[in-house]
Amino acid sequence: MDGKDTIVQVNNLHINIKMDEGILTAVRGVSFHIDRGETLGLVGESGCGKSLTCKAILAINEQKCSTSGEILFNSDNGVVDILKLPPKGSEIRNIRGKQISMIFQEPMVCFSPLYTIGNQINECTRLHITKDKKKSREISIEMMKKVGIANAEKRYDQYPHEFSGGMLQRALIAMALVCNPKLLIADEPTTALDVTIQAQILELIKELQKELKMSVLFVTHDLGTVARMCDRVAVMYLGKIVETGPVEEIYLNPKHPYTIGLIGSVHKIGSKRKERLYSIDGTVPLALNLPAGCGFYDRCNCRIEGVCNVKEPKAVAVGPDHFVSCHAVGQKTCEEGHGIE
Amino acid sequence: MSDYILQIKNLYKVYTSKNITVKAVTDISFNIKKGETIGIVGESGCGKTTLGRCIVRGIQATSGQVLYTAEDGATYDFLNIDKKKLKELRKDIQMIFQDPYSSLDPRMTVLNIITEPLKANFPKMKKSEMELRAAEIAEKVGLNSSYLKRYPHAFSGGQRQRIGIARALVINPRVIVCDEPVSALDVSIQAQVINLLKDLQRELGLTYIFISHDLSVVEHISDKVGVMYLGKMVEFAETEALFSKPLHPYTEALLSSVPVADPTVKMNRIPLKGEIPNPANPPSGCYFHERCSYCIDRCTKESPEYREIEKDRFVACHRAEELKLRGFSYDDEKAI
Amino acid sequence: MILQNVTDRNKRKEEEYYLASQWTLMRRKFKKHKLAMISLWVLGFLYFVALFGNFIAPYNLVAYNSKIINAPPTKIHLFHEGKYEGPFVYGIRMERDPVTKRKMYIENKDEIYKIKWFTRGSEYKLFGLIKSDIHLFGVDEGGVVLLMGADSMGRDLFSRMVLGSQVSLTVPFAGTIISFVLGIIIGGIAGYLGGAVDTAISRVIEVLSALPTIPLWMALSASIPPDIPVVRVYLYITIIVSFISWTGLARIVRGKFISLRKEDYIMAAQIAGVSNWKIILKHMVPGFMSYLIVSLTLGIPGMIIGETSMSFLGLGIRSPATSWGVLLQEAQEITSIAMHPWKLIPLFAVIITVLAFNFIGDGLRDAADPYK
Repeated sequence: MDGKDTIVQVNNLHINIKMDEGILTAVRGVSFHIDRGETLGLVGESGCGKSLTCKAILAINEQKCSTSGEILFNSDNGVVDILKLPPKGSEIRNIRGKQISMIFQEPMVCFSPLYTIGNQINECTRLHITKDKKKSREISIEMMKKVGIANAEKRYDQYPHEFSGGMLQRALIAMALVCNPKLLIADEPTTALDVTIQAQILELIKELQKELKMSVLFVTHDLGTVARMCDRVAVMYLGKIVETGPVEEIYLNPKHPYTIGLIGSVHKIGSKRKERLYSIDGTVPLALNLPAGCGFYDRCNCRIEGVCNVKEPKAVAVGPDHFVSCHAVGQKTCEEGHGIE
Repeated sequence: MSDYILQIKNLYKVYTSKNITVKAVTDISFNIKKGETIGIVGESGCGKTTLGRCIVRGIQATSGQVLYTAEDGATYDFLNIDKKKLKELRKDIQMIFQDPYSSLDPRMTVLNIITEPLKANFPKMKKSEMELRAAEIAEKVGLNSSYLKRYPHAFSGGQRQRIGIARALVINPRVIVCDEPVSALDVSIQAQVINLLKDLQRELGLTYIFISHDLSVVEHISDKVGVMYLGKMVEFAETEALFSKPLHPYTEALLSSVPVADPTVKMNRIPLKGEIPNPANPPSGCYFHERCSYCIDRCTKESPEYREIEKDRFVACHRAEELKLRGFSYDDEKAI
Repeated sequence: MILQNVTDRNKRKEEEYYLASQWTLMRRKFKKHKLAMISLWVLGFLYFVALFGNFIAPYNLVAYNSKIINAPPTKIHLFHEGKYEGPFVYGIRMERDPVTKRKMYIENKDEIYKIKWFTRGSEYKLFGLIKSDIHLFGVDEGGVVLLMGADSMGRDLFSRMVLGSQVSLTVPFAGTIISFVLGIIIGGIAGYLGGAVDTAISRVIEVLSALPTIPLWMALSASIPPDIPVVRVYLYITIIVSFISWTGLARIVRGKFISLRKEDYIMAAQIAGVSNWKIILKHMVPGFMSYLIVSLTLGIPGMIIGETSMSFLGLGIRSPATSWGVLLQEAQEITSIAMHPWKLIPLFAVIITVLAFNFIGDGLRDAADPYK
């Protein structure tokens, strides 16, 4: 592990999926770390592999995914490599839900319609904290109050269909945090919510994080949310991390052409209108039979032929704690070509 | 009057089933000039999608008028014209849909999807002419015309959306209702499609009604913006005016809730109490009063009138004149 | 070079995938379902035999011979006393077992009847049109070739099986066509018009579906007058069998209409000015066609069993026409089956046919929505 305060360290994670047409190299060597109490944003669009990476940390990927690499977790029993733990053993189950929790995009499908919300939150409590019925019910209700569910005692016995979208997301957060985990993985938790509800949920997560001294891995494609929530950001493209750094650095001083393109694609609310948004040409290719070299080569404006399409770029430091995987960094000033201030 | 291409007047859409009445759209009125883009924003249950579909006659409005000024200069109520006139005018007002997967018939080739409006409106057109037109439109929206014989499943979400745009454009409409056209797409593809829509507008002189829940996109693309809440229009103004100086408390709260893509900006959200009410059971008086921080006694009893408070600026709030609400300051690009 | 070939091949496969219509995708997926493909071949074979039944069967329906009552299947020999003579049968002679007094059929090694191909036999009309008297195989006067034994009237079971298959395999199809037409029309009206019409039709469907099928069939077929021509009986049986099965299809069509109406591309077509009629034909019908075909294929076994059961109970096809159900009447008594087990063979024919249709229906259902 890098430092004493590191909670999770992912080293060279590879995830391959066997398909009829060949092997899908969904995640191609991802490395990052999350320290205690910090929020790391994992930014990327569809097909970049961020969901698979998150699920790998909890070892809940499907059978057809073959994973290699290291995921070191600073658990209660010392540092363990999650990928080496037996997938159905008691150690990983002790970690899931208790030390590492996850919340998802669609809260509606995360709850069984057959049981009450309280019952399902309590399932977690009874499993990891106490088997005492009365005590666990109290703890669960307490957590529901903490996430801002009004009338928690009454709501405890209600079914998912009686909750609104925002309420369900709060209930999901309650379920995830009731055991005071070290790490919370949030996979696009607010994408499906209305703007005003989204703001409430994001605030809630930030409050609870401060209170519980928890680390958060926040996965999203929304740059506004990242700016609001994250301390550090890792930008993913086609199964690799192309840039990591503190959030201010990433926004004010992006170096990788994809990051620059991404930030330029979004109109910042409350700012003067531009004539055109910067758009990256082309679309994300399928991660099947990828050619050698940088995955972003086809769509890059600053590509260097003979270099970028031949070997993979390695991560280089371009600022304090700011790393970029790009051959063209420092070679040409790509920013001119992008027309971004 | 005639420099408006579209005038929406008192549009209502009410759904009734058994004992439940849902007022999806209540008394919406606004005007659009030729070549403008009007953005309609709101959260779930506000009725913006229903509004768009009523305007285009995809669903039948309960009452109201959509006065359309055709190319010949005459004005017709699009919702109340006879069958023959409808057939003539229908091609002028088209729609782009949100979901790129359900808006294309998966069993038709892309060529057939794009030429279907041609077949319906220009039955005398020769097949070769139709194919030429389809190829022309496809290239215009950035699709490779050699791919037209493929089926929709061969295309990505962004490309499908382009097919939808091509289908809407192929019969030369003058007004296009865009119902969340980029919400289902990745961020970088959104930018491509938004740029495309703007280019097409400039080139073809199109008028857009742009429905979205994404305020950043709406701010970027719209000339004027209307904010909807629970079926009613609560504010309507020019984009910069609305975003910098909102007059309705809901607009203020909405603007403050959007996370800004700039980590140096501190979030200063106006907290909204409670949740969006059930559209089948709206609150008394002003629909927003239960959640409004500026609510007074009058708001609980009397529904505010939608009135023109300044030139081309409308708002439905009893206290619009006295409240000093917070918006974005464009000067130093930092929120107040 | 190899890599280039591989990429070219991949590109061609991609292009095929892109240009594939719904039916092509369905066909591809269907081919992957091994059981369904095998069943397709099996059914193809059975229907082929039925089509050329009159030619393939060595005897016709009315030929009977009291000398070979309940005779077992005749053994086909190739060698007589060590010498290869080609396929042939010995003559049969009936004897009584001295102890049990039961009838036994002994081969008479003196009489040799060679099996001849394309022999002349009883007259028939192929496909009901072409007169002929040539049969695929047979033996000379005096000998009998009983591939599946004989029944209690001395009639060749194999011939009756083959000729019976003509009825057993076609009644379900005729019934299917009736169900298909009724189902689409009635279900389409209900789904498209909605409102009171939909409610009325749905209630009718529910009542019909609630009726127990076998008693209903029995009641209806018992009401067929006994002295009407065979073809008419056949027609009535077909109608009876499809009487209830149209309801299932109508429900599916109605449901699909209602769900497809909400699809965005339907609204897009309306907004573009496409007429309602064209929308139904071009967008909705292809939308539910695949489900309809699956439903039909899975419903055919029900009709086969229905016709077989009715004929088994004596309420269906009447003589001289025959079906597998009629043949199974001989298998009603346990002593009959115990002494003459070959009488159960039509049962296996029914089982195989029903299974084949079920597997094909499974394969179609898995392939049916290639977009999911």
